[in-house]
Amino acid sequence: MSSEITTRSGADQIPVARRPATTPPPRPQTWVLKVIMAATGSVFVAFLLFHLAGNLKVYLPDDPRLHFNEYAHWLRGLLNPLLPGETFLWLFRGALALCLVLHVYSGLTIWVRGRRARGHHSRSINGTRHHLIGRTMIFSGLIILAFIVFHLLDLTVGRGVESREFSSKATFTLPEGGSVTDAYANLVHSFERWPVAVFYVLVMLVVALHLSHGIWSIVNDFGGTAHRTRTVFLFLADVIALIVVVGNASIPIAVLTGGITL
Amino acid sequence: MTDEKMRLILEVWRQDGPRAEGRFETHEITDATPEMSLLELLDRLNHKLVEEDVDPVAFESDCREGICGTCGLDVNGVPHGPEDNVPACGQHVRSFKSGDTVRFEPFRAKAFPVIRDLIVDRTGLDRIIQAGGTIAVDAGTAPDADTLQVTHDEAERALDFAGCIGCGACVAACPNGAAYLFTGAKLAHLALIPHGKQERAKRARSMVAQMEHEFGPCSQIGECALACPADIPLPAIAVVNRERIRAGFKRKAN
Amino acid sequence: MSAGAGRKRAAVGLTIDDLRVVGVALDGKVPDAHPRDAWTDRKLHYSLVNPSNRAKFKIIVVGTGLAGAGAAAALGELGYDVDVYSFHDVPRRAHSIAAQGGINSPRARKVDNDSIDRFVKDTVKGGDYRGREQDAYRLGEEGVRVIDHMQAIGTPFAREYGGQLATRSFGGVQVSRTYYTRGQTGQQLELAAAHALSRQVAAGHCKLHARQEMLDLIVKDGRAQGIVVRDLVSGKVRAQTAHAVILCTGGYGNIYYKATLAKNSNATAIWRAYKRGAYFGNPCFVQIHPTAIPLMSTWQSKKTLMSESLRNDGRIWAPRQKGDPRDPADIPEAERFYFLEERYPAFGNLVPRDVASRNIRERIEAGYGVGPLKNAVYLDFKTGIERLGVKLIRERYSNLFDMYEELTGENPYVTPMRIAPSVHFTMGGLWTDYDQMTSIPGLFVGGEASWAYHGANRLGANSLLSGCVDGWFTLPYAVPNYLAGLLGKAPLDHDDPVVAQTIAEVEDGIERLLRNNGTHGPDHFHAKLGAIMDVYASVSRDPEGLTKAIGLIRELREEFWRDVKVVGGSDRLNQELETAGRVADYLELAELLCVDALDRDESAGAHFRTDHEVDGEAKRDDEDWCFCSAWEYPADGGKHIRNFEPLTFRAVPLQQRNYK
Repeated sequence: MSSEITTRSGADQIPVARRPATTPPPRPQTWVLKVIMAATGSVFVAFLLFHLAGNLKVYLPDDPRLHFNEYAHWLRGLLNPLLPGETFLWLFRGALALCLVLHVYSGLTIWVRGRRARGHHSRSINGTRHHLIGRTMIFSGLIILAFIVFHLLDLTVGRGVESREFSSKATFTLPEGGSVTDAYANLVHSFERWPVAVFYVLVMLVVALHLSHGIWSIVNDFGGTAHRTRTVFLFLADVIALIVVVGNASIPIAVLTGGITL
Repeated sequence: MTDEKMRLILEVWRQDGPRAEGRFETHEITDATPEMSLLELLDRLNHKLVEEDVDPVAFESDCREGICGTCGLDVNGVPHGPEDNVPACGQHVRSFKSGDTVRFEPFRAKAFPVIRDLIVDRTGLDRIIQAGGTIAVDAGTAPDADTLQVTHDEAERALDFAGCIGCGACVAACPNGAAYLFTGAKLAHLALIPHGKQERAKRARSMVAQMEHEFGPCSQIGECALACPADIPLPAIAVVNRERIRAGFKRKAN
Repeated sequence: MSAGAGRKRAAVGLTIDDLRVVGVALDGKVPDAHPRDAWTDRKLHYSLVNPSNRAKFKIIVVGTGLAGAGAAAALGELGYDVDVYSFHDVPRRAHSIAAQGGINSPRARKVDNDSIDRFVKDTVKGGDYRGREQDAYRLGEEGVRVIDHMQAIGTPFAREYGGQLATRSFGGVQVSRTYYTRGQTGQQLELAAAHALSRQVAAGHCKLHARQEMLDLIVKDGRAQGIVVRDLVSGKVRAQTAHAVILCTGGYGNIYYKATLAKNSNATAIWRAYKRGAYFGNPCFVQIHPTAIPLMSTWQSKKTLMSESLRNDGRIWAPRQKGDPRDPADIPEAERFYFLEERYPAFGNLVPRDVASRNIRERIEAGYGVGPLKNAVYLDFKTGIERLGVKLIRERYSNLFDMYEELTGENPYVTPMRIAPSVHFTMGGLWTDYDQMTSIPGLFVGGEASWAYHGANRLGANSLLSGCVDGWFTLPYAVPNYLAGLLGKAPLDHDDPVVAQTIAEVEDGIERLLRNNGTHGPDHFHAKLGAIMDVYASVSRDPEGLTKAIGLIRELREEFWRDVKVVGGSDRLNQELETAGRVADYLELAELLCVDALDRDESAGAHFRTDHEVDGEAKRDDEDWCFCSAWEYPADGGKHIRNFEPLTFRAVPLQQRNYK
């Protein structure tokens, strides 16, 4: 066809709006990552509430040490005798670890892609609380990640950052016989160190921020568009975040102020 | 109406071309008036520059009544200007005080390369449309529209999303440079139109893929809905995932 | 029929005979059948192009509004090879997007006795018998399926609670035939059309050339064979040839400087086509909308339309006292002059646009204007709010009230709106025959750029209809009929000397502007032109004023070429250069507009001549002026040549309007 474009100054093509890109989008696709984040995030929310329920046993009126340690023991032997020994615990830990890896990987990938798409210019913050929290999810997430490592070293493994009195040996004798790890004592000893207690409290605040936006994001990422669903989740996000921060952060405070003792 | 004259310092981004280095230039306007729109403030500046034989600041605008979506610039770092949900042509000098500095920048996003000064290339949004934001009905083949019932509420809801003026402020406002509000608005609108339902899943796959190709991910921050001059509701961003997840369970086009 | 024998000697000395010569009677190629059957008859006789041959035909479409996007998409769907040009960054910005009220369609579903015949009657009478009856029939007939099509491709038309399409009564007609999507009907139609175009772009049938402004038409062997465009980003001037060219580039209302049109809407494409030989139809028919937000400050860049639906519940008044400085709330009822209600008791505030505009303008010019520049009257909702309650008023008009408040900072629920007439739509445009083809074979026109349908005055909600019908349902029939005769012929070779010559002329024009080295930017001259047009060629015209205007325009044109300054170069994005070219064209078109207004020695619709009135009403002269003036460019630089297409009315007999 001879209806080509011509010009006195050269045969440049008129820049035609580019066709839809034929190269595939970045893999894994962002929407998949977001669904993964929402799914793993939901697991963490459930876990946190479950964990909190256990933690709150320190407030039981008579012999909280017994209740707490019994609970810890029960956890280790969950689904016995269907699954032998600590099988369930390790499956549980494995699942959580997998979720964590996926959550962190997705979060970091999304963050990197976001930075790249934004370009070199900063953005001012124009909106409400969620805007600030939303923008800092990556940082709150990394703080929480560091905290998880600390927390495991402090109270589960007992290495590096544990209290001097930490013991993973079965030193607590149960009334019905047998002895288990004195998780309660480990907890109290750890929180008796005031910088650790303060650290836990601060991190719980960060967790609350992360949760309040994270739970709100779950409804978005799963595609919740109905007005009522969204309103409920927006409310739930704050309620759950508040429960988690108040419930958990109160424990180190109670230890420091002498409300919880051995 | 007042005869009040305001003195404003204008910091304006100047950039000769897509690959050229950009810089801010400072100008002073001493006879701004509160009822001027921010675009008229730029008109005023350009008039002055032309009289001084200086290249005027290139910026885009067309209808200047908030519907065409042509105008698009950052004012003090905020897309369109200080007032929420108002396009640049409807933003006014009355939002500022005499002596204030007003900083004009092009929309900032990797997907919006600067063409000149305050003009950016927003065709990336149209490539999302081309990827599938359309309905495959040829002229003359449609059935009587009255035989396709659409409820009153569905029509209104479709219009809530269909009002997008395609200005790109959502992308410019987003710290991730995401186009979720835009894409979600289109997906939501078309999914509510009787013929649009026929390709709902196919559309979601292709539009989301094209969107991810050029734009960033969404982190539910919400800046987009605050900047949007067409008041596209925030749930539009959830529509993207809703439609894409839905499409993930389907092998068919609808 | 004598083709306009009016001879009036004006004070300045020029007579119409010094300005124009009468040319020939034109054949509009309207079928002989009854107007009702004309379109069916014509379609039956159109030649077709075999589907396998369609891709061999290259068609250029300029403009991506409702008509342009529709034509491009429809022809793309049929399989033609379409190239689409727009000066916008993306197709959907075109100014069709700003239309508010709705789109008429005589689907006649209600029992309010609407029909295509009634639609035609309304359109023809509304246009004061200066448009083709057959065109109006086609508009009504195809308008029925426009709604179906636009709904199917994405326009979410308002629905009743029963699920059926909702309609409203609009623009003074007595039936309910206006389909709408809130106050943003134009936007929804335009987006749907632009998306349909995007579909063809993705499919490869249409090639989109954005940020390209058409600057000339390539005519060879008497046929339109291509266009010359300037890439607005790189500044490069290029040509593209094709078998046919379709212009859908909108109206020329911006000639009045500050109108309700978008800043970039311009007349360059149609004007340059005119200068290549396309006739210009009825340039003096300019619609002036009564309710726009007036200019309130020096730097206000344009006027903004406030939908005429506001007049349903708002009352228009001006103070009885000249230059009354009081706040409107302090002016007692007795000192308010509800001039429309008093002068037109039957229709009151709902008189047609031109009548309302003229009366408002009369009040302002007589010194009764209000507002900082004393250039407006009040549109007061106090009575409406008292009668209906704030809630209902808010339901009906909130988006308009919000927009008004956004733009003016005043709350219309409390303070009356200030409104003034503003140029809004141009009924005139390139002359086309019944097949939408101009006097240059191969050059087609659609939408506001053409003269068709609206006669001397356009009915509300008919412009969206004409854009859609032209694009989707007229041009796709008419253009192939022309193309069929060109089968086997390649488009004009790009090495053809005519192509190089046209490019060279465009480049010379650009160079001439850039080299001019004057003292003022183009906007300065545009403002001056607007002032002249506003005084002498607006809501009411008289021979003396028009003659004077022609002299002033000629002077201004000379001044422009002596004194215009275009900063920057041609090799990059240069908005001053774009403006300069457009203003240069306005300065020529303005003269033709005034000559046409001077020539048309009658009042008709929006063209109101003070020397042709009865009790303040326009007085048509059907004996001498029942034709379309189709102006021909005098290539030799002589007098303007006015050809004419006689208009006959069979279905809607000629009748004088009366709104008293």
